[in-house]
Amino acid sequence: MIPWLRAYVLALACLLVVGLPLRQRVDRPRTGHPLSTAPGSSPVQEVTTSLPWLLPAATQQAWQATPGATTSWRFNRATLHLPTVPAAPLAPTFRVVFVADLAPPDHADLLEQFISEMAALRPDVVLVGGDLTYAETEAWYAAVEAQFLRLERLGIPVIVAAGNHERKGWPLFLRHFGHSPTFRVDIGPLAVLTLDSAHGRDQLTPSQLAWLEDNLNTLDGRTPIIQLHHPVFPAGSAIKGEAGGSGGSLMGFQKAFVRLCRDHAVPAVLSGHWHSDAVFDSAGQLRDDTVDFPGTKFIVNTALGNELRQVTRWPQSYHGYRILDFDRGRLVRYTVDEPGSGRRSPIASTPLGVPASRKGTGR
Amino acid sequence: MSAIWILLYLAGLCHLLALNGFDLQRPAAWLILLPILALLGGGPLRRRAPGLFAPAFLRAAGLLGLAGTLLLARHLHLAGWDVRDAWPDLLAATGGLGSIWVLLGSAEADAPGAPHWLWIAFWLLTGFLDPALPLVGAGLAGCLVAWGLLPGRPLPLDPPPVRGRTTLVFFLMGLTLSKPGWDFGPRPDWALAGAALGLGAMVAQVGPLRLRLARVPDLALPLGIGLLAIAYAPGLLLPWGALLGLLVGLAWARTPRPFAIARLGGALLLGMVFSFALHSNLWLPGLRHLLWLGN
Repeated sequence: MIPWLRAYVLALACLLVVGLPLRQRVDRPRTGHPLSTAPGSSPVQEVTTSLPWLLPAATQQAWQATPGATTSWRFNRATLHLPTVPAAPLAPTFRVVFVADLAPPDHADLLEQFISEMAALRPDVVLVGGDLTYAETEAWYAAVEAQFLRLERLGIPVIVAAGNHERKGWPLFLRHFGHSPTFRVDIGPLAVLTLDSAHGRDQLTPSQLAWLEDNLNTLDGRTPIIQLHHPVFPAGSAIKGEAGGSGGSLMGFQKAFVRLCRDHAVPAVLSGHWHSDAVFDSAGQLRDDTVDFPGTKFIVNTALGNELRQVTRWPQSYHGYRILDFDRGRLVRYTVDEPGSGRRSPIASTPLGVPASRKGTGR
Repeated sequence: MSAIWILLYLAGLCHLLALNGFDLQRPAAWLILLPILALLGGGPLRRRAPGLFAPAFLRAAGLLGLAGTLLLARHLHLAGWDVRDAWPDLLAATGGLGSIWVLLGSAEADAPGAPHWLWIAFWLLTGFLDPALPLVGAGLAGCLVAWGLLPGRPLPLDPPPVRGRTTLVFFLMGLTLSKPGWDFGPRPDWALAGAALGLGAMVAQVGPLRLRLARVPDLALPLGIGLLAIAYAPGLLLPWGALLGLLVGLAWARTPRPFAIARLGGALLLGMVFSFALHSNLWLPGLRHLLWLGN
């Protein structure tokens, strides 16, 4: 008995050697993980500490000084529950920009151009759907984070999902964009749910699906939209190419995922990965015929700055991003108009380089 | 000590590498294969050169094992393993080599008992704080055994007996152990399943349950552990871990002595590698629907 007691005393000493001096990692808010700001939402700050149930003094003082806030612990994960954001009438319109498959360092100008266009367009939030860097260097991750910080300084929150390329520089991704790649942000009329489909290459896992279901069951009247890197459906009969070997789609729990989207009236699921535009309905059919079809729009977006590909029969190919307009929480626009016709394209995203005045209507 | 090293160091290292990546194109990455080579080839080395496992060597190895794992955990804590950095490779190799040297020189003649499994549960739970911490549990146990502060008897020099079904059980153990890690990814909840596993194995060693479990047929072990690889559900994480622990504890108790560390540790490692291949979508896409219940 005594040898084991001695062993546990030494075990606690080892934990102290690892955890002292007391330090913390801020998990939220940080770049890519903004606070929830929607009226009626309950924002939280989260830190992970080096020893359980102990906060560094500066954080403890700051948290204690926050009026109306309470702290909860799960071992070394501390959460500060801020007061509920007061209810307020929502602006009638809400604009989301979705972008994925950003630029490698040799196309940094395209990322720069995107940031400039966002500064002019002033969306309410920018969602980044994975494959952020294509270069596993500290310098390039820092450069991409700095570009997102520019947007945040303009008052445009950025919400970041992990892609398969992030797995190649995973510690860099975690360091710059947070250690919780599955998370929720309530903003405007929306609950933005970010998933990590790249965790098993192209799969959701059971705990992610359970997390998604829990969140879809607690929407409190908000409109859910989901971003994940991998497209939910394969190109199927609409296939035209194989996307240079990366034309895959979501494999793990695909049917359960689609059923959840249908049951909870999710208007849009946003993905990248193909470097090509596509829109599918809940049956997995490419909808290049109309924008007016019922149910969830499973939207795949072209690349912002990396190599372009053709995966489906949809012929247009350019670098771009996607603007989604919501009217009182209802998705009213997710494609651009066909040039010259005034008719809505069923699939097309917004090309980089189009003047801000032509990027949509109704604002 | 065999269960402690295999479940805390070997499985912990595999989990860390699965989380953070492993790039064999960097020379430093090959360092972390050294403890695995020692696991696979250490037995014959001990029979040929027993002097290398003299108490003085073991004490030095124990200290190195503790220092390596402790510094590794401190280096990685709150930051993660940057696989481009050579330091973690060096520390992981030092910690692993030191602790397995002790294991090779002084592995227990008896099956791990309840205190060993409680130790495993405790250190797997610390994985919630950081996934590198369970490795410290192996390093510390090795150091204590080497310095005579924990019970450990010299390993007989005879080659261990070989049984095919036991090897299969350990392969399936490796396959199944990794499930919560694959499911939760960077989220730390996998550690709760690990703690439940340790406690389940501990319960299997004590009281009347031990007598009842003695009636469980040998065939139930591979079947049960294999079924748990498929019947995994995050909503039942703790019962799943405890049930797996019962079977793991039972399997370890029924393993012929002396414990065939190379063969059985290698089988468990192979199971984890196979699990990695399955869950990372590297091979065998037809099996993907068997990976998760309800998929």
